[in-house]
Amino acid sequence: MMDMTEIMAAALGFLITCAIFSYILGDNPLLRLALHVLAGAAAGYTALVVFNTTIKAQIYEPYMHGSTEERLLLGVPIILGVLLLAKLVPPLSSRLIWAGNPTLAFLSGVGAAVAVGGAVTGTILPQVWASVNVLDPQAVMETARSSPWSLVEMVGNAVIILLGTLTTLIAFHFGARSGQTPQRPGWINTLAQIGQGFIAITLGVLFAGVLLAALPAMIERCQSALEFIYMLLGLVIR
Amino acid sequence: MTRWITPISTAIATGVGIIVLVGYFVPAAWILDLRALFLRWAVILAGLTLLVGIFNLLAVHGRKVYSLNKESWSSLALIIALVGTAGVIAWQQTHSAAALWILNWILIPAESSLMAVLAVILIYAAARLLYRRKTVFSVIFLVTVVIVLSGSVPFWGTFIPFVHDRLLGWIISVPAMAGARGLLLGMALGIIATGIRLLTGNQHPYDG
Amino acid sequence: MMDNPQDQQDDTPQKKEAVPGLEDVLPLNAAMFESDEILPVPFSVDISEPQYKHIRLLERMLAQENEGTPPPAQPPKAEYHPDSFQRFLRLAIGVILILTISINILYSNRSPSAVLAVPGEITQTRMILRGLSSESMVLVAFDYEPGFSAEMEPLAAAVFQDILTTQAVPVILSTSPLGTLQAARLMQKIQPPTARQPIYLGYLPGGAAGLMSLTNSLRNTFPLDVDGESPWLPDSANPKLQAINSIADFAAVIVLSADAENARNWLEQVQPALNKTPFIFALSAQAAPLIRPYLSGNQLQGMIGGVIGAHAYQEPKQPNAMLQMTWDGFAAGVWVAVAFIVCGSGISLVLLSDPARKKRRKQRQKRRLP
Repeated sequence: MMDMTEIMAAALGFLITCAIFSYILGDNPLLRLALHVLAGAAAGYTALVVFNTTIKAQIYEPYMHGSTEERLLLGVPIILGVLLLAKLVPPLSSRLIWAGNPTLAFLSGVGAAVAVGGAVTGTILPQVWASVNVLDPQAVMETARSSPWSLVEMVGNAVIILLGTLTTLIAFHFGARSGQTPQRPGWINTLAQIGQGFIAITLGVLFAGVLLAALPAMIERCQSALEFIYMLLGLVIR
Repeated sequence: MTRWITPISTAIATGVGIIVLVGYFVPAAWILDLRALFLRWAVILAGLTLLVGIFNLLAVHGRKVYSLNKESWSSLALIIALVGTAGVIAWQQTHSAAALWILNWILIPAESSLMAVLAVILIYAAARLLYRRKTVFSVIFLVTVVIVLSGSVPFWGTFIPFVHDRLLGWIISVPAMAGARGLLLGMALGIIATGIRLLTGNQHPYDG
Repeated sequence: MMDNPQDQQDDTPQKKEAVPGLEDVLPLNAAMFESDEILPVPFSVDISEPQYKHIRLLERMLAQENEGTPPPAQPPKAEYHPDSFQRFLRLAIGVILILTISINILYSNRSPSAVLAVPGEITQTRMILRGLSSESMVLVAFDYEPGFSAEMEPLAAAVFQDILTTQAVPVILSTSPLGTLQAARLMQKIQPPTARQPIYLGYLPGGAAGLMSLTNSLRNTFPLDVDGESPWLPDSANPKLQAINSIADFAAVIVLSADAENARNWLEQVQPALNKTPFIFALSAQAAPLIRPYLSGNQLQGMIGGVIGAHAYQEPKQPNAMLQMTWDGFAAGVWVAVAFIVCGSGISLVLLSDPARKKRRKQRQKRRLP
């Protein structure tokens, strides 16, 4: 015997699916209602998770059970967090909106430093090194021994990868002197056009990837809808 | 006080940022300890900022409900969903059966449906691309899309020879990878430029 | 609004005001707009030369408003509604896609076809995961949103099948608030009752800064788990976690992500601290192309991308149950997409190359312009 709550849950999922699929025809009130419900539910769950993770685990528990030094150090994020409320509470925000700026400055400083450090050590250096080492001498020697055609293919691919990397970077280069319109020299323009070709290929692969990521969601929704229709038919027949 | 707040904020951003950045390259014990402390504070503040954002969402939609305009109904639905979900999870715990029910019957249907609609929109956009923009790069883009899609899955149970076993692998691991590497390097350089401007005090996104 | 001595005597214009509802707010008097004289301004105004030129230009434009002849009467042309055709096209794509997929779901034989080529990174991933033991603790990050669960769950199931077979203990965290709940949902679907229970550390806020904090001090970043208990105490439910002091102590780090930006943060902030610990990504098809350069740069030891990757990962003797239900529909959906793209592009090329149609299209565009 089917559980009534199971049927109601499936019906809710089906209704939400239909409301959002109506976007294919254009914006409508049903779609907006479904999106607002989604936003509310996600925000409500997030609020509790963040409360448990941050306020309970990182502030309350260390404050109640930690040493004096830990409690004093906790004072800094607590004060900065309270200052942030000045941007939110209306009576305070009109006069004290600037009070939240040090908190945002702290977060911006840390965020910028982490981004810069990560970009240098995690992307620029390893990727430049990988570009320089695209032809490993040992691998070249082994390939040359096995088959000359494989060696030609290997060297050709390496040249294409180097060319593609450099021309893609050049495609984003724009320079201008004061009083002049931005203009690239002829040879840079040619290389930039080649780079745009590589970018077009990369974006094509990315686009295909997004489509391949979205199709399983379509399949899953169709499956759920079919299961719900079977459920309803089962009820009607009974 | 207000005219002092910008220099104080800039000093905080620059000072904290420089210590965190130096820690990547100079492994001195005191720098690493200070960096670990700042990062721990940043994690706490990031969580608090998220909470403040959620309260702001409640406040904005509460004002919309109070103003009784045509968007009030959807704002009311948002508030009910938010308060209801928070109440249920507070009572039942974050990994309870109730939380899984909300995930299975509200969040996944809604977000998956948005992704499904995205599939339709993407196919529509690709089909009309040449009508709107007939250039060599559009043709290269579309040819790549068709090769990647047709090489990835079998047609009536059989993979297309050459496309699946040679062409697809070559496109993904040679020209697409080269372009991706160029894009990643370009993005990283842009991040470094923007980050340095913030750390040297030339940009103040926190003023407001 | 300027006061006018005539306001109090002549209240008729105010009762028939042009702006309903504002009769007591704006004491407008129609007489103000009947006069050709410029009303006296009680204070002096400094106007720069460019501003004076703009004022003169505006005055000339206003003066020209009443000049010009009305357009000649023309028979009404049939209105062109581009929106309705676009809506019809989107609907047609949606209906055909849904029908194709639904027919395949109902009538597929559920046996996945063989994959001709298994990429090297997938073979490497299999070797690493099957080399784990019951003493191994594996850090798994569930960093995808619920919208990607249809694609990521078969991937995650493929990875977890090997982890659970080797009896390694998964330690789960997420940089998304819903991540660990997604993990719990997956465990409910795939975990046999005899398997070891995962440890749920919880949500890590702060993005890249949070990941850096994780690298610096794992225990301070997660002092409590999702149940509010400390997992690092000797008498906790998982005493083996005592051996883990930093992220490099794990037997492997696996990230399940649908976002290239998030994957890049893991690579930039966490990977440099891992030393010899294998780092594996199970990524959505939309993120994998942008992360491939890191694979060729040896910053990753293994990668599985999308449903295609999950299909290549499974072996004929151990088919992925989640994938079997959807593979035929997935393939059919892809071919419908290819058909629409090829036909649409071909028709666009034909339409664009026909000179008469080109001319009519330009005329329609001109009519739409104001």
